[in-house]
Amino acid sequence: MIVRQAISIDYPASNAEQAIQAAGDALCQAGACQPEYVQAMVASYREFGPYFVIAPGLAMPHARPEQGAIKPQFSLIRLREPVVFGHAENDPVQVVLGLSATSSDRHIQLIQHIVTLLADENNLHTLMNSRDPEQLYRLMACAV
Amino acid sequence: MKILTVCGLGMGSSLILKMNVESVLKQHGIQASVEHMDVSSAASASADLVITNAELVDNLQHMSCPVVIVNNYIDNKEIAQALEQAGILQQGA
Repeated sequence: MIVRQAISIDYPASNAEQAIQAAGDALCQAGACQPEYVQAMVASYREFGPYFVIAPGLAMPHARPEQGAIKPQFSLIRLREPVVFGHAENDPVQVVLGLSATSSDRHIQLIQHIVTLLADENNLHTLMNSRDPEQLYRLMACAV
Repeated sequence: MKILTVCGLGMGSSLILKMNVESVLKQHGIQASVEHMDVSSAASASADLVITNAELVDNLQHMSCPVVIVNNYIDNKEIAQALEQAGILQQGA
């Protein structure tokens, strides 16, 4: 679901595109996607806006499978300062879950895992507030 | 009954919303088929209800079925309220 190296905290992004880029780069370094997938994540934000800010403070940017996804995986970037993405209700964003989206059944399973994880208020609180990368890794890895 | 959950690319947040809409419907014992879709496919699809967020709703204004907004995709209370607003759940059920 996630590799330890794809989690960073206190990332100093000053705008939404930098935050999305960081989440994409982390996926790329983890071998979950090609560099062009990261460009497509940023392009998708420019085209469709911040609809992927799925809950207050929580963004889940991604691109299409055919744009260079290799395997279904998340990255987790906690921003040093919350950043405005332009979402009417859910701004500002504190945590960015980068998603390498494939068209496989494993993609569905990955999304099911994150839905189950986020349904638990304690998990959500940890995800949104923890500054401990090891704790975040255990949280995300446990959901596999 | 057919419900569409709609996002920009049709495979990330709309899938999360679909799963949570299904779980709210199941809690209330309501049968419906819920599909997730990208905004351009949804614009030419037919359904009984479309659920999306405030960012994309302007692209779906011309649809013949009701379009309701959910902004927090992981808040089942907000999802239940949207389904009440659409008349699919009873008020206060």
